[in-house]
Amino acid sequence: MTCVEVRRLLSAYIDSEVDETTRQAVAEHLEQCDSCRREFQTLLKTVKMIRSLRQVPWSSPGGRTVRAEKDK
Amino acid sequence: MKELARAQETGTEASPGTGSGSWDIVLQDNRDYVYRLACHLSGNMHEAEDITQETLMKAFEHRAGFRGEASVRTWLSRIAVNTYLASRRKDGRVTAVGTRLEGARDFLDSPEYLVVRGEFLQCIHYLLQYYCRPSDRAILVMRDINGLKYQDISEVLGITLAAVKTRLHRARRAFRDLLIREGCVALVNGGRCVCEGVRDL
Repeated sequence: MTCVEVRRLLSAYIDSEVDETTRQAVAEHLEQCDSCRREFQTLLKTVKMIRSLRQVPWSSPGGRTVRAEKDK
Repeated sequence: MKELARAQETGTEASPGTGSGSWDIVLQDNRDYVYRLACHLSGNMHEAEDITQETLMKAFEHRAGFRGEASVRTWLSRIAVNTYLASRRKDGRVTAVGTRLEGARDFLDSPEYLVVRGEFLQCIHYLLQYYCRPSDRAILVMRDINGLKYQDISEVLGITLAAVKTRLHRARRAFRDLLIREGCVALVNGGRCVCEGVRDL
């Protein structure tokens, strides 16, 4: 698998939305390729940062707090 | 009604039928879900309330068109996202990546700022609301904040699974590039968040 192919799959890989064969191929590539591994790590961190907004407790105009539900 | 409640718990929602009584209950049960989605899409509690009202009203009006092929939440998400995107097109707040939207400074005086003030949450919220394209924001909110599955997003946006993967990846990369450009220490150096807000507000 080439770097271009791996990078295109990184989001789906993070979300476990790739099949097992693809997952293994991406994982193996990431072990060997520093550049793609850095790309993966910054993307994963970005996703975690966006997901941190789940904890924001929004208030409704009526003053009631509406919290996020747990991930499905 | 018990069957419906059980189905909702397991995520395999049954159709509430066309009776207005059962729809009233279903829509009220999902009101918080829609409101939360609208809050993250619009970043504004009052606009979120408007989107929520409009979504529930449209859902009720078009309840006969709900065929149960998707879950009620997916169907409501589709209406909410389309309502949000339509409002952004209408007021011209569609922007290129990295362009700050008008009104960004008002954010500092808003109740939303107080809500998200804490560690780096306000940075992420701010960048998501004021620098992200609405279409990117919608897919990031659906997947990363509301936790919708790819299949659900595909149904909400009316696009293929492959397109969901492409768009989500593009949106995440754009957001990552935005954080790097804004000098996010936590991301760039792998360190702990040390700033007290977005630089250059």
